[in-house]
Amino acid sequence: MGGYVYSVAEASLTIASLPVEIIILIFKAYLDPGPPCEGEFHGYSASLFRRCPIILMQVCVLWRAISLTTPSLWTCICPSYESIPRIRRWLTICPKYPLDLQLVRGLYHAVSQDYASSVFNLFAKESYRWRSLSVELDPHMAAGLVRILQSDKSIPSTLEKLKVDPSREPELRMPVSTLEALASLLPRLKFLQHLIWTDKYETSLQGVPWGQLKTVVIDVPSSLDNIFSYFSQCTSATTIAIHWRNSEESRENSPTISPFSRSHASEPHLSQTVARQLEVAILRRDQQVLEDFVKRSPSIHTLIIDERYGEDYAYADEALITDQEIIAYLTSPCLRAIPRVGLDLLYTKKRIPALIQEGLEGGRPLPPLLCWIPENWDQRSNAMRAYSPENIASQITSLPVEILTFVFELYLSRDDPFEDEFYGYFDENLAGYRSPLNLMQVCSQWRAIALATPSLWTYICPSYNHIRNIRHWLAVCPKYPLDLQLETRAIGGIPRGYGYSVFNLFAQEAYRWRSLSIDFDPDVANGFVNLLKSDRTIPLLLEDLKIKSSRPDHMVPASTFHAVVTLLPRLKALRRLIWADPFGEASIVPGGYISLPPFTLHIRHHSRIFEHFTLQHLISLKLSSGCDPIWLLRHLSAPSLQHLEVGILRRGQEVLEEFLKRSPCIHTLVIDERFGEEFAYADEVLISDQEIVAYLTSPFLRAIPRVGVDLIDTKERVFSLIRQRSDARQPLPPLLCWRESLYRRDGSITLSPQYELDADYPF
Amino acid sequence: MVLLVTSDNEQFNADKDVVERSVLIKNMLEDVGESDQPIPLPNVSSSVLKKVLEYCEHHRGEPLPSADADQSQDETRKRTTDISEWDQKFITVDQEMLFEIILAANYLDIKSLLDVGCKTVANMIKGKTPEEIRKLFNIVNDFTPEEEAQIKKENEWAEDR
Repeated sequence: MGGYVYSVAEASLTIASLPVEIIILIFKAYLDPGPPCEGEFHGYSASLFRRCPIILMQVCVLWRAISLTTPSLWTCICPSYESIPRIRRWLTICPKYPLDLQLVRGLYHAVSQDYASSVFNLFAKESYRWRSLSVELDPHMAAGLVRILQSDKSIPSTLEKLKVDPSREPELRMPVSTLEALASLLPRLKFLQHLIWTDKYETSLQGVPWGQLKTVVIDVPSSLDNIFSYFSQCTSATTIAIHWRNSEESRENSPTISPFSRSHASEPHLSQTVARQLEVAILRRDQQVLEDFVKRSPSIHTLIIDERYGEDYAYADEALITDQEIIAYLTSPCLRAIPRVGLDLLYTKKRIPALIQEGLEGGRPLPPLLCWIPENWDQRSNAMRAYSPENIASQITSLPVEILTFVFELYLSRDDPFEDEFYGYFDENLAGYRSPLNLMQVCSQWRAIALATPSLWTYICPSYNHIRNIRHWLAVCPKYPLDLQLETRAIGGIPRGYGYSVFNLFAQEAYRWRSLSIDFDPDVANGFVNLLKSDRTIPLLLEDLKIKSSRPDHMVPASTFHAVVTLLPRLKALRRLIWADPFGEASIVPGGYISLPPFTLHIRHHSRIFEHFTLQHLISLKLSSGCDPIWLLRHLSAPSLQHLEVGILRRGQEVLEEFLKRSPCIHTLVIDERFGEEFAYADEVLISDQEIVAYLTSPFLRAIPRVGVDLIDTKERVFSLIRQRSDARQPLPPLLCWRESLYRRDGSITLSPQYELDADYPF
Repeated sequence: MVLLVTSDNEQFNADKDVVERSVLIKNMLEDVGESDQPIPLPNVSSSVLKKVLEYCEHHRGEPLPSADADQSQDETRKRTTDISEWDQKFITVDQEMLFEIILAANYLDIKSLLDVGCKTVANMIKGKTPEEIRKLFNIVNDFTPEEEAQIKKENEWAEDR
């Protein structure tokens, strides 16, 4: 029922009601340029005018403001597919955030050379805000870049990442001297930390400030001496990929060698104490050299052996490599000491899994050696799956993420909500075999899905867990909004302080409470009062609150209840309130209610009322078991009330009608005898046929568009009376909706009289 | 009758009210109107379509979930993992077929079949340790040693599972 009411109350929810941070997320998803291509720093938006913030800016003031104040929408761009006027226009509109820029030749071939120059020149004026630059250089651009770096006025002093990719086209080849001048100017970029330099032709990179770089990716033909020189200067680099190959000229005269072979590699000072990631080619005859190097480089935690990197030399070697040599590689203690080793082979691919399956050390030690899975390790992760020892792709991993998410939600299947609760809650052992923590341990994909699925973490009833389990659960769980049920009375045999301890643990997360169903004992009630008092701890997101006083031996003093009631108006987001007070400690005439925003009130059990009162903003009211509705309705005025649920009472018809007169907005009325059972049963049994007819034909009831009646003892009599009445056929259907379909399993109401009449009553 | 063509080029004739349990096919038929043209299903193989049609045939005539089913209904759909006896028997297939059926149900937009498939997988996972789950579904433990250590640390307190 509550769910239904809530949906009615919130029916006007639109995208404009979404919090700004959610809209930003939507914008980011909309503009998502995708993951970076291999060898790039970022993914880039190639269109400046389609799927771009400029479109979003035109929607409304809010969207415009959000677009303009969200830097990430404007940074990663590749303008090389736009016309010059459009680029110029974009530059006048876009805010001056740091730029992650990719200038590729793209369409340049089809366009004039002037185009490429013009694009470069346009963005050169913005060089002060370049944060990263990936540029496919032609002679003009190279010269321009040199000029920019030479000038104190234009130097991109904040540039952190640079990718230099001289054009492969022979006609666009620039003088080596230009590139070398460019390299020698890089020390002027004080914040440069990441450098990718790829080229087909030999270039000396001696001027590069190797010592300040954290990431070095070099794929340039060079002499072995140069390579060695670069490598040995990378004293700060944590990631090094030097894809070395001989220059065209020297290849014919020199034997095939790798960076780790021959005399240089064995020199004692060629070591890396800082490098954490190293990518090399696999070479049969280089194993010893590689092992020695790894020994001298204790910081390495990631080693990628990728035959593509040394393709000129590796293929022949690999084809010749023997099974014993492969095993020697795979079982090398030196390599196994590295936490993450990835293998990416082509020619030996089939032989290696076969060897592993044949029982290489029982197949067990290999997974750490063969791991390659983290998604951002580019697309090789897919290829590596084929290398798994089982050599069989798991079927379940072929399911789309959204289906796996659904499976996980089913796995954690919560109970249906009990009547008078907002939700069903997950109340099993938080650490048990049916908890998201269990799923998170299966593999990285499941871990990521579990962490990214809020519904696995929100509907929690932690009161059946040890405190230490709860504490650890809280440490691991992502910080999604919480729909929390804190029961203190349900823990049999657990000491009194337990409930308060659980409350205190979750009180630290009060900033993310979305709904709370809480049992009060004196300590918890006091804790809750303190929480509401402080601006630092008040649960500002709280929309739904159910308060129930706990065991009779731990009665909450009326003064504490009163304090809660007084503080409730501080919960600005509160929309639904269930007040269950079996011991009648609290007054239900809280002055505080009066200033609440539109809200739903559900009062259970007897509560005291002292005077006539008006709840101006009350839109839904439910008075259930133990609470004498007639007594309350006599004193209450609720001019905004739209939804009312009460027990039916013979003696109360007049009061109900009077109340309805004072409540012109009511569009749904449910008369449910269960709600007033202490008062209703005797009345109902005694109710005469005339009184029933008076009820059903009451003009006040019939004026309400949706009325549900849920009776037990008088049901047959009501049916019979309806059959007898000539005016029953037309006016009654909108009035009647019986128990069987009155409640859905989730507690919300369905008012579909036609269905009811078809099913139950053959008019 | 409606003619369906699977990814392996096999043709299936089925009653309209049977195939219309698939929202995808229902929409296609509505869009195309009366036509003898076969409906290609490039994402569904013949062995899987046979199973799917068996399911649709059995559930022929049952009310379809309305397109505007509200959120609370969807919530209910998610919460229970009960599966009817016939469905249970129907879905007792090997893993490969199970996942094929799920993918096909997703593609063809047959919510109830997707539910049955997902519930089955959820029930398979229930009560199992991560290691058992990996073994059951042949999932590679791709955590790095550091991540493993971290996870172990995260969960070592969970003594009373």
